Amino acid sequence: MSAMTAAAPPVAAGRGVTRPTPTLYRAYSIAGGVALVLVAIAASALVGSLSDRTDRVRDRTGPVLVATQQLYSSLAEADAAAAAVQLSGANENREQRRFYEQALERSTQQIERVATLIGDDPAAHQTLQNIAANLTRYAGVVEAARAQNKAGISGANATLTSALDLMRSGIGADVEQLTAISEKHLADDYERPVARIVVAVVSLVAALIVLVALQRFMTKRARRLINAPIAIATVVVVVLAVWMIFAEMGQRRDLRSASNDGYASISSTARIQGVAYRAKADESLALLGSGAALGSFETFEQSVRTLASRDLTAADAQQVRDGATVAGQGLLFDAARLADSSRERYAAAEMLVRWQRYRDTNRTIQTAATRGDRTTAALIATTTGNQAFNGFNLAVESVVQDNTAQFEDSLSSADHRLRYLGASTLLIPLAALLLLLWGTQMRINEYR
Amino acid sequence: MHQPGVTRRSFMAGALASGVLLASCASGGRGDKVSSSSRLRILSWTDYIDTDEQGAPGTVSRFAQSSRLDVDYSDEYPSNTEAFSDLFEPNLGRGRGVGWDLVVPTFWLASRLVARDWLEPLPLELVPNHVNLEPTFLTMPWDRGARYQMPWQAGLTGIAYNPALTKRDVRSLADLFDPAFRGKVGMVTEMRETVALTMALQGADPSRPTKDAAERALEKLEAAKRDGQIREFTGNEFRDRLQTGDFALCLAWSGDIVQLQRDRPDIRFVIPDEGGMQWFDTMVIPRHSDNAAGAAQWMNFVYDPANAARITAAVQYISPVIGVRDELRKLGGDAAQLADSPILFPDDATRQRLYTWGGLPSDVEDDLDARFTTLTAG
Repeated sequence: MSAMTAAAPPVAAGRGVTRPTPTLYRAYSIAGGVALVLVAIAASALVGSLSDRTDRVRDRTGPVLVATQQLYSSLAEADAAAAAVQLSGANENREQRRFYEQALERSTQQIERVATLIGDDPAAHQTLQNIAANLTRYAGVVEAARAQNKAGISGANATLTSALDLMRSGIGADVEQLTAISEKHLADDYERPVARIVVAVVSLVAALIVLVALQRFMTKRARRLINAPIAIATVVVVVLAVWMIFAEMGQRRDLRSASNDGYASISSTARIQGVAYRAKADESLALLGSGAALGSFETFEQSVRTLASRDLTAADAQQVRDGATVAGQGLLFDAARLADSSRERYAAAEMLVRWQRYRDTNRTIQTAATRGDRTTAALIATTTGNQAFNGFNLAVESVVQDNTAQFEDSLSSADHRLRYLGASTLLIPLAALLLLLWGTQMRINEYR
Repeated sequence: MHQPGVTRRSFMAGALASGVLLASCASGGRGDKVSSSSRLRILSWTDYIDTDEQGAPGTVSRFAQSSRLDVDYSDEYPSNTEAFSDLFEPNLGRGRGVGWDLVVPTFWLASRLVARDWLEPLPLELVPNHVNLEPTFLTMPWDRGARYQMPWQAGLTGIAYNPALTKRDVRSLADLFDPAFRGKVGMVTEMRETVALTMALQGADPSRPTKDAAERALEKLEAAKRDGQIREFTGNEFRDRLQTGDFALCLAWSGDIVQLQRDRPDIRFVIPDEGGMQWFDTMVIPRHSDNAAGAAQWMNFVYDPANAARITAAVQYISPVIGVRDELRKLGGDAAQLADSPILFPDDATRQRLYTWGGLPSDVEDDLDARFTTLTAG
């Protein structure tokens, strides 16, 4: 290619064309060089921002969101288990007590994790402090209720009810607020690099304008078709621009996917767990209550309707496995619709089947309670009922784990898109700069 | 169908382990996709499945026919300790397959394999019958949701006794240490059951063990052995000792007692007031399996309640599959009688008194194992 330009003699004087001076070429190359340096700086800054965006979502915002949802379900689990322990009476249910203690321990760990990751947001830290303080109070009241229950003191159930109220009104509201703060952080992270994109685009356009103008100037003055090094430099800069656009768009798409497919599913299943635990706690409270409260499953039924507007059948589960849409309202149906891989669909189907098993067990509990046989109702609730509920809960957890893996995969994919771009934002402008200097120097040499 | 004297608890000779090791050399690798091939290699315990009988193909044959897989089923699983030291660690620890697509270790070993990331996650999209897994097996802290293993059979460890020799009902673990029965007491050779139940007697929770509590239990057992209270630590030989009268009472495994009671209905089995141990052997897919898809198909097949009931009728351990009780009734005959067995289908009150060993760090368990082995050998 160099032969195409180097072999051409200078345009002969006297043909009415102004001879271009090397000084003019040098001026162009300096302008192009400056533009390319700006490109390198702006592109590196942009890639740094994109990388930072992914890092923040992967290492901070994402884990905070996941931990917040886990905190939500851990607290709900503690609530349901505390009520189940109380229901089992003085000879308390060991397994449910273990679940309670483990859920409380996990909650504390999740609070610490969120506090470490969430950064220096004062509102978030204040909310976390409130949750931690109220959780300590809650645990204290539960222990008091437990001690009263073991001692056969009549106010034990009222004490437990006050603990559950604290969980639902105080701690629950704070966790909702924490979730809102975390989701806002995620939205902020999406928008973070926008200003730098503009700077990078402007510098790329400026570099391209200088390169094209120099090419045209040379073509016009030297009557050459093309200066190959400068043409290659132009193409290289265009490639960098296209690469960056695609990387940014791809990364944005991956993050959206992480948010829509991963986080939305995590959030949805965490809601399912929360509502189901509330239902389980309400079941226990209905059996612990006295007078009109005994056997009143109204709030339980409300939670059930939030989860599924109707009973679920084996055919529904099969439809979910087959990827068909199942008609029905409620969080469980929503989760089944969100399942977009074979593994998720099978897990969602299992969740539906196990929920229905628990629902069927609850009906036998309600039947016993309605005829005034509290002892039988409590026995079923603390044995078969707990087992059926655990089965459902663990099925939900499986779905959460799959969704979390999908969320993390999308974030890894977003990160992967920037793998070679960082170094390229320096190397490509440098290569373009060298080509520019080479092409310009070749023309200048023709005047020596 | 049962062959007396040889059960999943039988201790296999080292020669068998070497056969396993030779087979392990044939393993191949796999990527993220679920591996599959036309051959499925299963390694399980001796006499732990129904076999072909005239006119009635066993589970392996029926599965091979329906799946069209070439099934290589071996019942030469060695002890858990041997399996770990001779099969899993030397192969999986070096990134190689073990030569089997599906293996059936006891739960505590499975938990170690999970912790070391030596198991494939189950391709649950190929196991829709995972939904038939009894919920109690979903709550293992080391594998919540049973995503790495599916239990094969479960059993209980409680007290078996001969009322003619004890001359009274036995209800408590304390009876094992009652001087009235000096020299007539047996314990089992499984550390996680004998030590765990002694812990329960001392007020500790075996589902959440601590090193201190386990050591206290070991001290009590060592003293009892020294004083002649404990006659012997055995595997399922306790069946013979109970029959001959060498043992008046002993720790025993539920499946063996169900089998023994066919000949000796007078032998009783109880879950002590302080609680009993629940254990289970579980199907896992080791890393680098050549046919994880086939292993998943097998799991799905044996989790069909109708198929699971045939296995239960043969091995007489507790099935982890929902719906087996109804299917046993449908089978009629002896199988239908098993549906009413309180040992195979413990009631809710009994279940509440069961512990599953919670596990300690593997180095701590190794130390306890070593000390326990010295005790049982002495």
